[in-house]
Amino acid sequence: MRGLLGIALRNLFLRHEQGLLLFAVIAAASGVLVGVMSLSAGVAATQKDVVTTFLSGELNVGGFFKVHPDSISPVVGDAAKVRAVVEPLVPEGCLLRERGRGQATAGAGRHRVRSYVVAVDVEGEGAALRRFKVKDGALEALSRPHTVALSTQLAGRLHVRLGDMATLFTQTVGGQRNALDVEVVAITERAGLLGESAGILVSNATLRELDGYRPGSAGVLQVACAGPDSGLDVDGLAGQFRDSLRQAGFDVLPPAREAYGDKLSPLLREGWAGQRVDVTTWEDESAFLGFISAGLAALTVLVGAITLAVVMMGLFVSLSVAVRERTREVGTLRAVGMQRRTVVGMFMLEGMLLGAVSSGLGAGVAAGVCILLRDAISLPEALSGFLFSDTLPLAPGPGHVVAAVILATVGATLASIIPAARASSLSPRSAMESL
Amino acid sequence: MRTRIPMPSALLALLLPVLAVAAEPKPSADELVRQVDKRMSMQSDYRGVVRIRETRKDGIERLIEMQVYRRDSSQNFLMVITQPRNMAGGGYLRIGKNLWEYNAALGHWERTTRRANIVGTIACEGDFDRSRLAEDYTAVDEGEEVIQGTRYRKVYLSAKPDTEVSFAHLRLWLDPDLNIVKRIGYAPSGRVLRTDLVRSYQKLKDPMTQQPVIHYREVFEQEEEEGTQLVVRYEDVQLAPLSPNLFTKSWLEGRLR
Repeated sequence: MRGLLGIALRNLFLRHEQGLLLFAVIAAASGVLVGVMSLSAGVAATQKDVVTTFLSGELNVGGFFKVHPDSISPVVGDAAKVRAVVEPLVPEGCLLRERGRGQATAGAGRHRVRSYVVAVDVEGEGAALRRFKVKDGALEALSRPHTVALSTQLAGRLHVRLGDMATLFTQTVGGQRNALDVEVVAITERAGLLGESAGILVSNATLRELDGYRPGSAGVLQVACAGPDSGLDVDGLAGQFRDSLRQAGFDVLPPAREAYGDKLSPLLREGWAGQRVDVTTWEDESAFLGFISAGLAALTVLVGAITLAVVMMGLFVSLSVAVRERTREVGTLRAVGMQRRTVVGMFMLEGMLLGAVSSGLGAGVAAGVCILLRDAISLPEALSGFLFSDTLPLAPGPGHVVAAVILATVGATLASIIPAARASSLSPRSAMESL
Repeated sequence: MRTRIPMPSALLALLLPVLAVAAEPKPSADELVRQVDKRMSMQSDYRGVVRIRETRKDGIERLIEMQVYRRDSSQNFLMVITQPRNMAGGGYLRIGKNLWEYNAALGHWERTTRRANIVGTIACEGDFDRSRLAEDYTAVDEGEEVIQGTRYRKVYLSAKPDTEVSFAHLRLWLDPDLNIVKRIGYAPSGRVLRTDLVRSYQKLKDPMTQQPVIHYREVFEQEEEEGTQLVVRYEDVQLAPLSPNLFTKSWLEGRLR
């Protein structure tokens, strides 16, 4: 084996011009693959962070209330009863926070923008409010009545600044249309698409007044756990929550991979009236953003396939030429007693060696570059919306390097099988004849 | 026989009225604003037609006509859109402190606020309501400004807490007769929202008090940010009792039928 390794290494160094070119191509392809995987992972992490900050907890216990079959509001009328059922089930290290949700049109002057409303419990959430990135002002000021925090996008579209007044228009729980003047006390940083679609932040009290909810109602009770990777089995816990709520006599909606906003229209068409409780995970609430992660996954697969194709084509051509050029060497080795299987192994080892070393180096360098560039490259506005960040969200990990190296090495090994088989099929006599 | 008046006495007699005027203290800013309100307040019910010509920066023009009904004694207000045809029948109704917008095409009533613009223009409900500057704002005197030989008093107004006004701050230029000739509305952040020039006034007589009342005839309004301009004309103004059933939702809904 050591002999074969020596021959393979010697051959690689001997044909260093060809080898270097191939080395560079495989390294670059592996590097690009690591870059795309880092981007995909970075976007997924940022997306979860933004979603669990704005829209959702790890787990949500919300509901829909219909005063009559023709109106619907995303609210739990008697939140205290629901809280009493689910609070004992909240895992250690997590807290149950009360949030409000709804839709409103924000207006200032002639400008109007429709967006989802997120209502927060300013006193209850305390330090957790710092997860919202504030550009101007302070979210703590939302504790004052009739105040609002707008996303940068919405503030821009309404042409308002800190301290200005805006008007929120909404439909109340009974179907009437209401309006409330609010003071802009904070402007939040861009949060990707959510900055546009969920860009109105108010306190729970302001939302109750705007939507005509009674005291004691809540939009949703969210299980919020410290850190984005809490390792919580959200689907399992959601099942427990549903069972407990059903046992307590609540009418619980079946699980569905949909955000609450997408459920409003289908539920409005249903003929029931009253309260229904809905338990969702953060993945359900961000289902409408699934096209971004699906797109990035498709991009990763595409880049992986291209990497594999480049490695295999490059090595196949290179080794095929090498076999033709090294006919005499192969003939000599065969003449001195080398078996066909050993010849195959020699060529495959050469390909595998090239694939492993070049992809290892390329992937390692790419991971290093990704770490250096993390949050350092500013993105244009159109792109930052889809990637949930103003800067390029890269999250390289050892797994990405290992996956790229394995892919390139396996590709290189597979690509060398046919040239190696051709080399081994040469008879010593025909090889000696070329002398 | 001619009696000769001594020179110093004659000079004194001439200067006395001037000195008296000079010695008279200038009214405070709050007093000025109160006087502006008083000159424009009406005890009788009000009805009039408002015609608006809106010119946008891109040159697109829009003509809007509305009938305005007011009962200042009870703070009731009704505005009925008559032109353009696609908006006709809609309007705004205020009873006390509640203001609603009526969409005639949908038959929907939507609660709105005095800050919201009306009919998709840069005008606000407050533009057509009675003058209540002294109630809503605290005034600061900014001295005088001489423009083309005329002295104008400048007054800066800031909205009182918990008042619902179209502009958080206003700067007024008042002529010697206490007519507003220019008005700039600011956002709380200090951004200029709208500049108004009152081109002309009309004098009316309040039949209830038999006192003269000043009312706008034509106002030019310009939005700073997008350059939209409005020319608002107040025409066919009548001060006479209105039907007690006028300020109701059903009256406005019934007009379309």
